[in-house]
Amino acid sequence: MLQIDLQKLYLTLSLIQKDKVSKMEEKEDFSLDRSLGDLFFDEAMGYGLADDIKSAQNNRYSEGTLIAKGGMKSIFNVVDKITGREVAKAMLINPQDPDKVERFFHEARICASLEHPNIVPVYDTGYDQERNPYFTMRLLGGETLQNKVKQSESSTADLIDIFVKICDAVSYAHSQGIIHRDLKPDNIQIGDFGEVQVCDWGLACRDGIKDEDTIFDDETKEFILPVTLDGMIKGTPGYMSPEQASAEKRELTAFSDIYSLGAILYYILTKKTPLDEFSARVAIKKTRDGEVKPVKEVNPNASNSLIAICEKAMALKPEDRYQSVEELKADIVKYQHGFPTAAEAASTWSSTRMFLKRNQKSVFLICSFFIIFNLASVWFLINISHKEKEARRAAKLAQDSERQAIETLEKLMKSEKQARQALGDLKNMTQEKVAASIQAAPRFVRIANMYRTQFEPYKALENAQQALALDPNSKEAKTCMAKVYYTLMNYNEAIHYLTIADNVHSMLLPAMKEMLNKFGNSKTKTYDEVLYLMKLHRKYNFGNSYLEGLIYSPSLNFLTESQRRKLAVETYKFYYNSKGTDFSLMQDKIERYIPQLLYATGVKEFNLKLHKRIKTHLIRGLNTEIVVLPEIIVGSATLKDLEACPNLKKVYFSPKTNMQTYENLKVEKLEYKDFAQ
Amino acid sequence: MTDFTPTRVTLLQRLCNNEKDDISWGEFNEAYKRYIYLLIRGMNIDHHDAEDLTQTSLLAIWENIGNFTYSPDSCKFRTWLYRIVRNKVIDHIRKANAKKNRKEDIPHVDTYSSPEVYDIAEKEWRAHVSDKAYNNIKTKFSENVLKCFDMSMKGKSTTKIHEATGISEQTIYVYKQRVKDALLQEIRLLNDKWG
Repeated sequence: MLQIDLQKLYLTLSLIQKDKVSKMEEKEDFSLDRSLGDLFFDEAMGYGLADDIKSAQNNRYSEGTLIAKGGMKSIFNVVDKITGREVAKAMLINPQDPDKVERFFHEARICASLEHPNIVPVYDTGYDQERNPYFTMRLLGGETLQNKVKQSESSTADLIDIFVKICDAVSYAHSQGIIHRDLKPDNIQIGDFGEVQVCDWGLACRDGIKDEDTIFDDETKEFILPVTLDGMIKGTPGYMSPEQASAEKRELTAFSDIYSLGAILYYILTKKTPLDEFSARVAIKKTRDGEVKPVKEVNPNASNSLIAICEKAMALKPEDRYQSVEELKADIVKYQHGFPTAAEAASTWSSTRMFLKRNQKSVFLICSFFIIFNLASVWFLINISHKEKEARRAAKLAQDSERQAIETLEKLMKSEKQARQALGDLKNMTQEKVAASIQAAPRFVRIANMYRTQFEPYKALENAQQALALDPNSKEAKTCMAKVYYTLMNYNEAIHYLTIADNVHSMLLPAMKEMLNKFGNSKTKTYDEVLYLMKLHRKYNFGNSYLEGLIYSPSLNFLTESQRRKLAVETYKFYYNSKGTDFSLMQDKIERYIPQLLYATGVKEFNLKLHKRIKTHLIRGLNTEIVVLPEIIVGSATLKDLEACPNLKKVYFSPKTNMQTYENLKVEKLEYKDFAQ
Repeated sequence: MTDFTPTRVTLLQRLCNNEKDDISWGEFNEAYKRYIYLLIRGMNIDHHDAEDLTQTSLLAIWENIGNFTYSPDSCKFRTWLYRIVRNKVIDHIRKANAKKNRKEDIPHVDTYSSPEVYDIAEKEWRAHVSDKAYNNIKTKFSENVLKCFDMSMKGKSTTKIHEATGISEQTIYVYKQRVKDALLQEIRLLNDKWG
């Protein structure tokens, strides 16, 4: 409630106040005409852009404030009512002088012809409502390079960036055939956002440098004036080139601007205008003589590269300077990028240093990466060496065992190969030899029979077995075996071989079965057993060969001489009826009919003359002294028999005997005719 | 067209960017001094105190202008300015009360922020800007032209002006129109520039 009352009170008061203010109108500068606001404000607010522009056609620029004043012209800050922006309006100070007007418009034209981001753009030119010549250009905020350098906050790198932009602008102007002739830090405006603009082209003129061939062309329409129209020195001491400072009328060229750029660089490096310690007159003279204090003396910390560039640009003779702004700029850019510049003859070390400087990041990264990598590698190696050792040991073990395994395998393979070969050989052999051995078997049977008949039972057995091995089906071999075992009195074996030889009809079978029944198959034989066997011989009527085999068998070697003599008498009785029992009486009869029985009976004389063919085996013995051999004898067998009689003294041979066989026999060799009847 | 975005913001911009120099201070005074005085007077302050308060307010605004973020859509400069002036006035009343050692109701802050009060401030602004504009264009016109315009402003018809000055009615009409065009343009310009 209080608030509302206060408001009402305020309103009433303000109304009263209004009247009071109106009364004060005349005496105070606070006075005003309220009716204007009431009448026109709303209408003005309702005004459109079109109305604004329409009404501004004849009066484009507002009254402005002075922002700068030079020798020839003043610069005002005005509002362009058509575009609605603030612009800088240049006005000639003395518009009555037609030469100055000409010069003024000339500047406007030159400036307008240059369209470059680093050259201040001219918007408009002409005569204003008051018939004064003007031109408008961009209103530049910020400050001049002059002030910027003075502020210690700007680094050299920032200023060099600005300098490059100045070079760009001048380079462009030169390409358009225009030289500035008054380049100095005061004519460089730097905006708040780093925009750099070269301004004050008041001394600029067209140059013949559009075409390179006409750079020094005498016909260039060059304004060669020692001073400006208002009597001032053309250019600024310290920044003007020696040729500009010269009294001689010399054509000014792009080299002049290059000198001024060098001087600007000098200012950037030293914060001092060259030769500013001298008066204008002395400065001009010193400029002509090239006596500028070296940068190093003013600022010992300045970069050598930049000093070299600066000195080259400020060379006394134009031909010693950079031949174009582009060249100058290229060197500055080289410096910025850390490359050695053309102005300084770079040594290898300084080149390397610059390379490292401009590649700081990369070099740092590469170095750190290298170090880290190496450290990691070393660590890794240390770490793994231990494991590697173990691994190596394990590997060695594995290798060893592998080698062993391989060796074993090789051996195995070798042996397998051998085995296979052997098996193959064996197979081949068996296959090949089965036939061959079957063919060979009878040969062994023959040999076996030969030994059997020569009363060598064991050799006979050997060969018979060989024959059987070669041909297990050989009946002859089996029969031979049976016969030999019979002579050895081994009935079981003999019966076995007879059976498998399928020789069941042999007379040996019943005889041996009878023997088995009577005596069993004991190994130790007795006289009675032998005698009984002899009886069976007679019973079954066995031939001579069986009897011989048995008599000469080693199984009867256990018989003593007397037993032999007894056996001979008894056996003789089985065949021939006789009542006698005395051997000496019976000896002749036995010798006459069964001489084989006399074997190993201790007889000294054997007369076998009556026996046409008989084996002489019976003569063997220590006691034999005289032997009358049978008519027909087997040479070699008989020789052996004779040789088996160590005490032999006389031998009577049949006249039909081939005596060559017995050549080496050391006994008395006689013939039948010598034998006394 | 009232929400037309002003394009001429140079003074404000420069002020906000803290680019203070003598030119800006002069322009700043020209633009706002009378307006501030009118506002203070409107708050029932006598002329003598109002002059002092105008000066202190101007200085306060000058010092604090960097804190004002220029944005024509969100807050007009003169609204921001009004708040500073209002605070100065409240301060002044407090001090005056303390001196006299008597307890008087201090106007609430909202008192000076209500729509009605804002309307009054707006009205003062219009009067201020329009008057300035007229003074600015006066130099561009001849005496006769201005005379015709002034007379028409006082409500005199074209015929009466013709009778008083002898200028033809057709010409009077053209004169009036020329001044009016210039005035409207200037009002608009100043409003955009200072507002």
